Amino acid sequence: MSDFDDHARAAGERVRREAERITAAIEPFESPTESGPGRSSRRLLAAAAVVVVVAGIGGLLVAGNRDSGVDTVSPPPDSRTASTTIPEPSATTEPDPATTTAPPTTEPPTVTSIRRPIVDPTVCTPISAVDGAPSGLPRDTSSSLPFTLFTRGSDSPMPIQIIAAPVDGQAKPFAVVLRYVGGQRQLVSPDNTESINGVDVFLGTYDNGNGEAEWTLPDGSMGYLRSRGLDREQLVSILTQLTPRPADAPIPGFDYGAGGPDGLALVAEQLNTEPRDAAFAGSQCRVDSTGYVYRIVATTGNPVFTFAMVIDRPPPVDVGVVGDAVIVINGIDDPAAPRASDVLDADEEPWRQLLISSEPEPELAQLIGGDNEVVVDFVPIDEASTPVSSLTLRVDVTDGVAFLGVYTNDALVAEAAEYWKTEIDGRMRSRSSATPGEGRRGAFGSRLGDSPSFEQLTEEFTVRISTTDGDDQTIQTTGTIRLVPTLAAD
Amino acid sequence: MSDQDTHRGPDFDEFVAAEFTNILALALAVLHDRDDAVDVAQETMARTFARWDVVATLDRPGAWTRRVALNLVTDTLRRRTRRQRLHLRLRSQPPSIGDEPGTIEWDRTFWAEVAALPKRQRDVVVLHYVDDLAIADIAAIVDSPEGTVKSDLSRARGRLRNAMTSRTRSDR
Repeated sequence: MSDFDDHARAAGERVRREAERITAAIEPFESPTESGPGRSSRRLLAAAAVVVVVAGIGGLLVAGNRDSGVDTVSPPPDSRTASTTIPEPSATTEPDPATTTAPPTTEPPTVTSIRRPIVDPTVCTPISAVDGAPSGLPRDTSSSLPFTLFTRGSDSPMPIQIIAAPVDGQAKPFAVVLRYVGGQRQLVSPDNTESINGVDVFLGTYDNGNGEAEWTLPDGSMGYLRSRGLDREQLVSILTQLTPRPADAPIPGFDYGAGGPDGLALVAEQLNTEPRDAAFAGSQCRVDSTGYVYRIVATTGNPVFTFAMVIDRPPPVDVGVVGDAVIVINGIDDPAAPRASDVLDADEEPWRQLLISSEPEPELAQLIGGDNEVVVDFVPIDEASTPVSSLTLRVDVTDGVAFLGVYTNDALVAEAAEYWKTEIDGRMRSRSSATPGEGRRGAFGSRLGDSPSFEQLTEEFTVRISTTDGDDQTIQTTGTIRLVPTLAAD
Repeated sequence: MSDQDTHRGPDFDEFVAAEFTNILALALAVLHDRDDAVDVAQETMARTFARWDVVATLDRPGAWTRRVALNLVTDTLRRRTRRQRLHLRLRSQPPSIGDEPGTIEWDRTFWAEVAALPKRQRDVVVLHYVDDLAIADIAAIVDSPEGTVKSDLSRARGRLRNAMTSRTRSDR
């Protein structure tokens, strides 16, 4: 048996053991002989709820801060400890909506900011760098910023508010508060709520230091809070200070009272439809002693974006603020992992070299035309929750004009997909409605270049087929495919 | 209490006792979320109970139940919207070095790659590596010839091996 098989079987065994542990936590089933099928099914489903509650109880914050030269957002063991890491609040706790898009951080003139983040090479050897969103992350087409949940544009305005320490708040415990109106959102866990000031609230805190809460307001809108580094008691304290604003307020979110956790204030707010003036750059490095690779990003500008880049990503190893730049480090949590205090601003030439080393190897070109069809993988862009499926590309000639046909019979279209998008040689050539599901027979086409007939097509061209959501955010894609027309066309 | 209930009750209890953990493990491997996996296992058993009169007469009632579970797993994967995926990310742990060095990260990567396989290959892989079933048993569950199952398993292994190798190279 190969090493791979050994590993895979061991992984399967670990899953079975975990399943046994979960099963043991579920209360015994009531015999169906004592109840009808309907009641029995409900009993079965009720047992699932028990597991959810067990998971919630186990999700209390337990990890501690690690000592470093910069402020970090590891979850506090209790609220007392957390409060010692937060400075006294500023005099202003509620920002003026007209001025709140200014960054919440202050920038001492002596502190250098970071626009080209690399880790000190003696700590972690730089490998590559990116300006703007790295490949694989969905990008905002207008700014090259990576999309995040909180900064995505939308046709439905949604207020986003940040409750944080007024200075260097991204590196300290903070919360992001959203308000959904008009039925934009349903409760994620309507069966696991608790009463806070007479309001049913779903409240969760997790081992990784993140937390969340959601609740329904009397007008039918929903509040949603996502936090980092705050414990349950602090979340409850914040929730009690939130008063919904009138629906016609410029930013119809919440007013935040003065009785919340020490040091936290409403430091920024905006609608998700407002522009995001921010910048993003990143690099990767390898720690020689462990071989682990770390990703370092520096974001500057719009405060909502810089807070979102901390919380709307995988849990970071470390977060720090240097000047006006928020530094986030992701990777394996290990004693040798680089810290935000190890991050430097690279000189221009070394940075340029790192950018070049990031360029992907081009795929080999494939022949298309006549009997040569091309089958390409169709891959979800952010996570593996939609399986990889495939698309078939053909060149169809109708009345002497060549079209690229995209056949979707073998495609599994993601639930969130709303449109098909075809790009040829980097330009968008077609957009049509997509229907989520598997194996839907269908095809759509795009005229190939400016050539009137396939015989005149001799130059290599590139194609990229994607599904997108309503905001033009890529959901699945083939990536860029290089195609060479073959003259053996029909 | 009806005679029918009396007849199917004890058998169904035994069936649940014998199979619930197996079904849960299949779902857990692919979904990698405890709540979703328990939902799938519970729903599978609820559907099995609803048709127990027929299912109990099958040569392999466990095969039918596994097929239901694997279809529910696929449905769950499709239903996961972007927001739900982000919600899972919110609750995820940063990879760390535990008692078994490298194991957590390897497993996380492996199961993510398994979840990304086409459905048929994914089903075969979890039945093989999680349920530890023979090819003939897997063929009965996925309702395909044994040759097809071997082919699917071989392709899936190749794909997973390549993915794990390339990830190891890029991560180390």
